[in-house]
Amino acid sequence: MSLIENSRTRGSQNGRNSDEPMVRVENLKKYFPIHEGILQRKTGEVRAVDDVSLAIEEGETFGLVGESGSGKTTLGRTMLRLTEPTEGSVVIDGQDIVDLSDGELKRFRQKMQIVHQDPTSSLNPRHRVKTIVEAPLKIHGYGDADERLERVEELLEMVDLPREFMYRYPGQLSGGQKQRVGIARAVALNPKFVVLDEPTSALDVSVQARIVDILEDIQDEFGITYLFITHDLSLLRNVADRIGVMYLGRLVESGDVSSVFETPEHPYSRALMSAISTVSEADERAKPEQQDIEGEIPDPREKPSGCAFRSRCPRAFDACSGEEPPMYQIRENQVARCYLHDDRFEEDPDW
Amino acid sequence: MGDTLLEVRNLHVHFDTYDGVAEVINGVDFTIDEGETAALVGETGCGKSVTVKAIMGLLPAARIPEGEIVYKGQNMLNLSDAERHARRGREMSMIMQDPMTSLNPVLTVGEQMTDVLKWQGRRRLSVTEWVRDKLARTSDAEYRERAIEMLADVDISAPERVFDSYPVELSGGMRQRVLIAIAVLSEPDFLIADEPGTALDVTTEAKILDLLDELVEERDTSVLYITHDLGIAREVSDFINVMYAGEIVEQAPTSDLFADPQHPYTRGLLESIPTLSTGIGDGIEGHLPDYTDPPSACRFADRCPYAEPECREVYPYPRQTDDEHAIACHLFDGPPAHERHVDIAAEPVNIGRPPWKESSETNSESDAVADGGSIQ
Repeated sequence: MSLIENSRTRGSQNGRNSDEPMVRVENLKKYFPIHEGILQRKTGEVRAVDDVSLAIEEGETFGLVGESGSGKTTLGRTMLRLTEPTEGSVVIDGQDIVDLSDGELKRFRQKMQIVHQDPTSSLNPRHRVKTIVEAPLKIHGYGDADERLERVEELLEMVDLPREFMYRYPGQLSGGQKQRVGIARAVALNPKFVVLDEPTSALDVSVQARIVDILEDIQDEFGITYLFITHDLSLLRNVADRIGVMYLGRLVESGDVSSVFETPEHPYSRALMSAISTVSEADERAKPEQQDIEGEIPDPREKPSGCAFRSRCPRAFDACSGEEPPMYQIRENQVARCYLHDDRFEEDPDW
Repeated sequence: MGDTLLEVRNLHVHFDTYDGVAEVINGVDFTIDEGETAALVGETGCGKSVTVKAIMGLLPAARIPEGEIVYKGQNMLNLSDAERHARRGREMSMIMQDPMTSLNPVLTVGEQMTDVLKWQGRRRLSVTEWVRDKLARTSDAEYRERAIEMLADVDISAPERVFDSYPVELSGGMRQRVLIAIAVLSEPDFLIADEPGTALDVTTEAKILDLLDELVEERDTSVLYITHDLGIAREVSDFINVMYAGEIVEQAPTSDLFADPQHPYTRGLLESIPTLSTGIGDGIEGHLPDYTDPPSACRFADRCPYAEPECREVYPYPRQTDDEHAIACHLFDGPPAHERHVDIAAEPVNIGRPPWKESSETNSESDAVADGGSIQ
């Protein structure tokens, strides 16, 4: 592990105050332009991530949930500068990564990694497991060949794969085994922050449970900070410390996992939670009363004015079509972006 | 609930591969009564889709060396292709899993729907039939009317517009609704729903399942749901068949299964599901056996935390532990669930009682998952 520490000192050293969160995102925006017509003029934009702010403490798991098209994957990728942000700042371990030059960013990448959703397409089918897991070590100049081999062995053990798997190709592995390789590759350089983009959604539940177990063990041992992106709410209930609910590029609610699950305060979160399918009566009682919402997530190019959710919201009233609602502090560890919580209006969230 | 509508008896499906014969379905038995909704639950690769494709007769490359698929008293496997074709759509119909790829992208929704009505039960038209069909303009308007009615029935708000749309112009939820509309268009008695809604978001999925439930309720259709999600199965079905590696390991009425899951695989599966109140289990070690060289006795033994040497030697024939509850595991005693096993499986193999029973006896019938015991 000393080698890792050494290589790290060559990266940017900005020193982070101990009370500063590991990851701080402020007013992050990612707009994709729409070009149309013969001249390919810019005719509009898709606001995939729209003014998102959040903070993740060291060693914490922040869960990000939302339907497809809500911008959760784009947010995760923009936080690692895998897509360039339009505006805003992302501070990881005391360093604002938006300001980094390409060379600096590349060096900084050893502190931040990602595990992709589809284990089959994120591993090169022509490379052996050893080559795949070794790649980040080579790129960042970790030790010599023997030391790298030793590290690869250590990593495979960490993700519960036998040593012989080093010489197999991804095609010879099952989905769960492939995802373990993806995890080993992501934690190879002992990163501070890892984005887990739906790491288990392509897997069966019995395999998912084991992958989650491995991820938690690694986090406990190395104090890694996770951003866990998923559409599976019951999974998030079990893995996250705090969660954020996204809708059309906006964070509409966030807070402690127990508080958001027990008392969701945004109509969209309530609808999501009430749609969870359960396997026991106890769970059935644990979710909010059924809340139907109309239609499907609108085309992000035609986002409604005011509150983006108002076109589907059963509780929408006049104010919702005006200005976009701000975040309201509802309890100590929970905020929601909904006018039902504004004292200026008569409407009350009487759930 | 009425008489038996479909009975699958001792179904075996084999595929010839370069590695040898893959024994993918190994003696599957289940029945569906008229008006009943049943579910076939299992993980990826356990043979759910192969089973239903065998029922629909959509497995040209497979061999079915043994077994019967009796639908309304008639063994489907003895019928000619033309006779089976005539039954698809009108008698039994299937909702495919993926709404993105199951519709033809170059035909409008309307064309695909009227085709179903026009062609049901027919494979090709003679020239005279074709001419007559072309001349009978009136029937087209009738078909259109019926299709639009059906689209309205699946809660599509602008059915005329959707009728003239191409699939790409519709969202995933809309396409799934169209698929459902097509499947129930000719009022089949038996409907197979292969993971309906799995490709959709949770809120949309919940609505699709509700809709399907209403439709079959109104028409008194029998449904077989295929799903990997026990939570979904619990919501939609009356009876659950749990499949593992091409065999049915446990079958029981839904409420019984969740109150008292018995087979170690069912228990492992239930515990792996993340819950809201009690956390997430450890999952199940290992993976599915190789179908070209499956274990000769219990196919789950290599992953089973309770396996004894006998489990790898003697085949666990399903036994009836309760009126409607059958389990294929040596931990359970009871008369053989199927008549053909009465002679070979008369003597139960004794490997002791289920270990979780001893501890749970005291705090008996509490909640399924809360009382799950530990599997690892």
